[in-house]
Amino acid sequence: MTEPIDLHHDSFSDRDSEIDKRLRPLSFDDFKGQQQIVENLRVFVQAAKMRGEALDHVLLFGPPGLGKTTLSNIVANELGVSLKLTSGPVLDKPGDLAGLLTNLDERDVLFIDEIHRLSPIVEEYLYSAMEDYKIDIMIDKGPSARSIQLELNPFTLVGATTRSGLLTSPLRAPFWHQITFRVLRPENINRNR
Amino acid sequence: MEIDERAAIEIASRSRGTPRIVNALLRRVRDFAQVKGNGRIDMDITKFSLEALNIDTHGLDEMDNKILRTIIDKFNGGPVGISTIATAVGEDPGTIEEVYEPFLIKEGFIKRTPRGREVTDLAYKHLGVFRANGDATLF
Repeated sequence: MTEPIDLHHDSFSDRDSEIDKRLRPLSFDDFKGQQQIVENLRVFVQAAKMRGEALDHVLLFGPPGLGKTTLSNIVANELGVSLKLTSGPVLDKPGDLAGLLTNLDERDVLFIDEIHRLSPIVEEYLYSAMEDYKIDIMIDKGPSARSIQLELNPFTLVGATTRSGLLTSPLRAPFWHQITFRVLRPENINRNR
Repeated sequence: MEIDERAAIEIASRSRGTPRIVNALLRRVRDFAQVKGNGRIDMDITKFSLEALNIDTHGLDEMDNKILRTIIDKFNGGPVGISTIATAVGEDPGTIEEVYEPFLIKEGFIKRTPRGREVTDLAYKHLGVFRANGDATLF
């Protein structure tokens, strides 16, 4: 592993892909810790797939480093859809959000990290997008300003936050799955590997 | 999907009197019934699902119970400050105060006193813990 890795080159050796897979688990089986959460999500993902629906929106709470981002990767992968990643502070204009949402394919997963840091205006847009899969955007300014409504594909929003207390209650409401991660305890760590 | 009346009542009774919570729980029980059950919501699958979701008979979740247990086990039932509780359970004080505490106070598991939070007899009963009488040991 002394040679530099060429990221633009497709021909990773089996060993490279093996290492990459280990670093970024893509299936529920490879995720360690949070057993109950993983087992529950496994059921919810399977049920959504059986019904051919988008998974209900998921909100992940918990201290940093427990795998919130990893788990959202796994959820998208297990659903067999693609995942778009962004974070709260980056989405500062409603237009940015509209762009992201309209580019989602059916049942895709949109992951918003640090969701408590969304600006209040973007949050407002997000509620209606989450509840009705519709978004109203204003175009133009002054007398010619008008609002147009865009239909969105059904999608799953996965929000992650370390500070659940900072989330406003209207933003919390449309998340049907609210999952709290727990710090691992020594007795819960699976040693038989 | 069909649902038994007893199962429906069970789900409703654990929903803190809030329709949104009923809907949320019902969605999850439906998922379990579809994947782990026989496609019908009966009492067995309802109990199994609520157990997996850690929702107890009062509608308290894992964190609510952890807060009560912490105050009882580590702080002798209180009174104890909110930030101490928060640190002990690994949450931030704002979350405890805004998200968890209101329901616990409303249902009478915790009370606010000038010296901090104190659990009530109801909390002891709920967790099945015998209350050591602090006053009696003083003299």
